[in-house]
Amino acid sequence: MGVPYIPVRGLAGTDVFERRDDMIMAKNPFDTDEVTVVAVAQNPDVAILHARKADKDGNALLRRHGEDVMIAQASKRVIITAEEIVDRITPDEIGGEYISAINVTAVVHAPCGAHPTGVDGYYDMDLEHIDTYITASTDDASFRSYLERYVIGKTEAEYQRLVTARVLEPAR
Amino acid sequence: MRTKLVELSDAVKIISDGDEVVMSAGFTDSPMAMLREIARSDLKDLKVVGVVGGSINLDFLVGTGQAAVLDCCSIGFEPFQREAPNFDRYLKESRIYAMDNT
Repeated sequence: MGVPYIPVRGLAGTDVFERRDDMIMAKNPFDTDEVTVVAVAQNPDVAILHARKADKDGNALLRRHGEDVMIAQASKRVIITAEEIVDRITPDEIGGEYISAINVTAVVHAPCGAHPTGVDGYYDMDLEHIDTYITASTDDASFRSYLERYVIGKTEAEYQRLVTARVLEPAR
Repeated sequence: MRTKLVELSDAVKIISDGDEVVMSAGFTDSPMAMLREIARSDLKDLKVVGVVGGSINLDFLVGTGQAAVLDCCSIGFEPFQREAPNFDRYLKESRIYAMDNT
């Protein structure tokens, strides 16, 4: 949006303003009888987004959610991971939201990169793995074991082999 | 035009300690491969922003201990009708600072 702040109606009447400095109550300059919340613009250092397709220049096709484009435009640096790297993505692409290379810093080819969450048209979320994750999240030691089994000291390709070995196993 | 195509291990160098990191998505389209690469790195004190909300993506960075601040409108494991397990645990133990934009 490129604006320094924006008025919003939510949160008015709460005490959050006593605890944080990114939102204040302010008078509407056009109608001073009205008071709204005014929130300072967020310009994050890095945005991380997972796309269906991207090209090596940084153009990408994401799920159809407007906020993804806004996130990319508001952030200083943008990392796109993508299921597929294709020759060229254009604004006319159908089946998703287009993000221009202008907004993208780096593109990574990451097939199955949303796992254990899903990507429409590619794969469903992995309920069994999410269950494993939830069980592992009970305390620090068990989550550390989960990370050591699947993530830390392993490459992404090794992670994918570990989790897809079971998924691809034929049902008995 | 130079290619922007890099490996996960190069992309993670774009992020620095204390950075404000934003992501979208939940149980679809979460950028988990990149978050796993962050887990393999020494990055710390990240301020993680979820637009709109968050689920296993934000919860993962809480669980790795690399998120110091969380800024979002909601976080949960909605398809499983339960709270986000690491977030819930860290919040109750006052190990993260949560900014609620509900």
